[in-house]
Amino acid sequence: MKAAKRCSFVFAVIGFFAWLVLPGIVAAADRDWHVEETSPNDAPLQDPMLMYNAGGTDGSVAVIDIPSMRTYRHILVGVDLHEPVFSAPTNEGTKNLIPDGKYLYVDDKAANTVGVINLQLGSLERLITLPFPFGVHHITLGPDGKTLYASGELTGKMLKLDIATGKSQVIDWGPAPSAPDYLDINKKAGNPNKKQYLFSGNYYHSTVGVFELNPFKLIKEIPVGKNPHGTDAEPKGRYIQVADKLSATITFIDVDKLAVKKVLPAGAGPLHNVFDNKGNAYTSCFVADSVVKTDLNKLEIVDEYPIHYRIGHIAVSPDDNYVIALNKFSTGLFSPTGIRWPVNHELLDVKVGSPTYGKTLKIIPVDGEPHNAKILFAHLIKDWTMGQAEKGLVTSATPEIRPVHLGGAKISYLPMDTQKPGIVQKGDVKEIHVKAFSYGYVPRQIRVNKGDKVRIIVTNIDKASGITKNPDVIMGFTIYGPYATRTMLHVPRGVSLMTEFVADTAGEYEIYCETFCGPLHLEMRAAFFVDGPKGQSDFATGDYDEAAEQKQLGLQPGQLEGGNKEVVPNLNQL
Amino acid sequence: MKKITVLAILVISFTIGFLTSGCGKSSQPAESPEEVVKKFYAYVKEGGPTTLGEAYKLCSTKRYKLHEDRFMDIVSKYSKDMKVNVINSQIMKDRAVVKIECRVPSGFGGDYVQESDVNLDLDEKTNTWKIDFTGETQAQSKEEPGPAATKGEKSSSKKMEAK
Repeated sequence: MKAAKRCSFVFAVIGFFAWLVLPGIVAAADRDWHVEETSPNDAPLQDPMLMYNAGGTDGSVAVIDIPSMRTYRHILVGVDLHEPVFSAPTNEGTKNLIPDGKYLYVDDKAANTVGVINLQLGSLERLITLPFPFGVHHITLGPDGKTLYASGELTGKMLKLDIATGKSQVIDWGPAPSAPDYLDINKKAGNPNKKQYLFSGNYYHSTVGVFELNPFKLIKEIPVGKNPHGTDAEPKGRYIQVADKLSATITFIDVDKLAVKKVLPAGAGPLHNVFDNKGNAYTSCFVADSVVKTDLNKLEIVDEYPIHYRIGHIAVSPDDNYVIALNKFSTGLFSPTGIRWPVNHELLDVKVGSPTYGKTLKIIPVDGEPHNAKILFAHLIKDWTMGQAEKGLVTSATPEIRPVHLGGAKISYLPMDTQKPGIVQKGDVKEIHVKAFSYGYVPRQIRVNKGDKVRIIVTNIDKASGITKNPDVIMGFTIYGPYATRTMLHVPRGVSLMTEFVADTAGEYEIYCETFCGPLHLEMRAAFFVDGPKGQSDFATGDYDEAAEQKQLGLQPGQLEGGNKEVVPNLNQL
Repeated sequence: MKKITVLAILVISFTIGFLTSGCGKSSQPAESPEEVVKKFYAYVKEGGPTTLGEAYKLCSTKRYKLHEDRFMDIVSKYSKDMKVNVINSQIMKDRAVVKIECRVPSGFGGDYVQESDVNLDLDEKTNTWKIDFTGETQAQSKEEPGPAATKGEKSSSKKMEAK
């Protein structure tokens, strides 16, 4: 009897606690995938990490606290920023490297430059122009920490840059059409005898090119899946992981054998890979709206996390606890902000064992159209309010460069242009009617003479969104190099945009879409030829020395480094 | 008897004739396509949220519904110096095309003059013409003719400026 009473009492106690706890459990189970951040929300706390994000068409690098995801500031650099890379003594570590906290290098696809941001000052210290013709897409740090390697997506060339002097070496990667894209160098990972190569995807060749670093030359092309995009070196030095965008696979290249080791099916539209320090890789899948996790020791996919919508780039925190999805659209999330829609960053908890593992912790709207982002521990940036300046942070004259951002362009909005695409002579003006759509331009080639008055009218002729298409997208139109600041048109449906300028620099300058419009956005290209007295322009004929002077950026003498005068046949002989 | 029959026939004929002519009149929208386009660009030129809201109401949602805020952001970017003249129009049953001439200041001096076609849909619910602002009915090729490529059943040639 006593036992029965005791039992009843125990059950009563259990029942009472269940009554207290169960609603919470049920509520947690009812949550959807988007877990709201709990308090403190806007408390003035200091986060352990800082993310530096290349903001694409806003020409700035955003500095964002991790994990609170508060945006601190924007550092103005140029026109269309793509890949940020921290300075480091070597290229070891994850995609964030092991930063020394001194500089951030960031490339500008429209201006064809590399900006050098002083991380301690938080401002642009140097601007290095890359030679013309080149058309940079992405950069990666060399193993010595003193060189940058760059892919010339718009010309089919590769480049090696000496950061200190701005001297560069350019090599061709043919045959045309050739589009070198993302690139990386394998790690030594503690093995001093390990040979290091530069690997770069080429989406027109559907291969990964392998380059000797010294002397700088192409030695091999390895066939991979269709249209390789992210081509990334994992920290332990074993593999290069390639995201095959159109075949929905991930290809692993064995670095020692320079051959394909394994191919795994991924979510549709794999784009970029990042790595933690525990042997895991995270791959963004644009069409599948997910992040795929791969165990690099087993070469097996072990998890998949849903993200809000249309992930592009991806970043991982150096403490391995968070993955940040850099999403290209924000459908239904935020208030409209004008023609340019807000894009967003989505913070995922990837710490195994965490109560919110695999969940979205926070989504924030961000400026521009974010491209890649890298994260460092915040203690690397000194606190200037604590007397650090007097302790030698600035020991010599340190310039701050402020480029004239998109100044002087003559842009007009017009009712939707319904004239046929093509070039017509109107008095002394060459009038070019361009139709832009997913994924191309008509006409695909535009040829004018040096000195011509040029009027370009671009019309977005995409139709309403369908099931497989993106939301109502903007079509971009940028002529890279000397015409970048005078074009860069963001064209919504329903109107046309017109730009007028004098074609004052001869040469072949590629046209590209600077506003993300879907999976084949990168392939949306055309060419602008300005023929000078030397004859029809091509990559060998043009005012490329003049183009490398970057007059449109409005810099003062001495503020620009590098350029065509600094191109050398072999950078290793310096 | 005969008189009654004749009278009945006359009354019925008159009634049918009256109703038929009444139906015919009510099938014509109160505002012509030219007037709608002229009003649209007058609203756009005037600007301001209320007026642009009125311009938005003149847009068709038959094939695509552009978000109102996005529409306002787009049309507010038009130059205040832009002048739009209506040149002519064609009506083809439930669709119409209005040819307009648009003038904006050119960076090379003088004006840039653009001629373009504005397509309109007949909104059967309200019996009004609505502008296809996003160009869903614009022809992209010879295989896909839009109203501009079709011979019109009714056309007029006028020149009106949206002041």
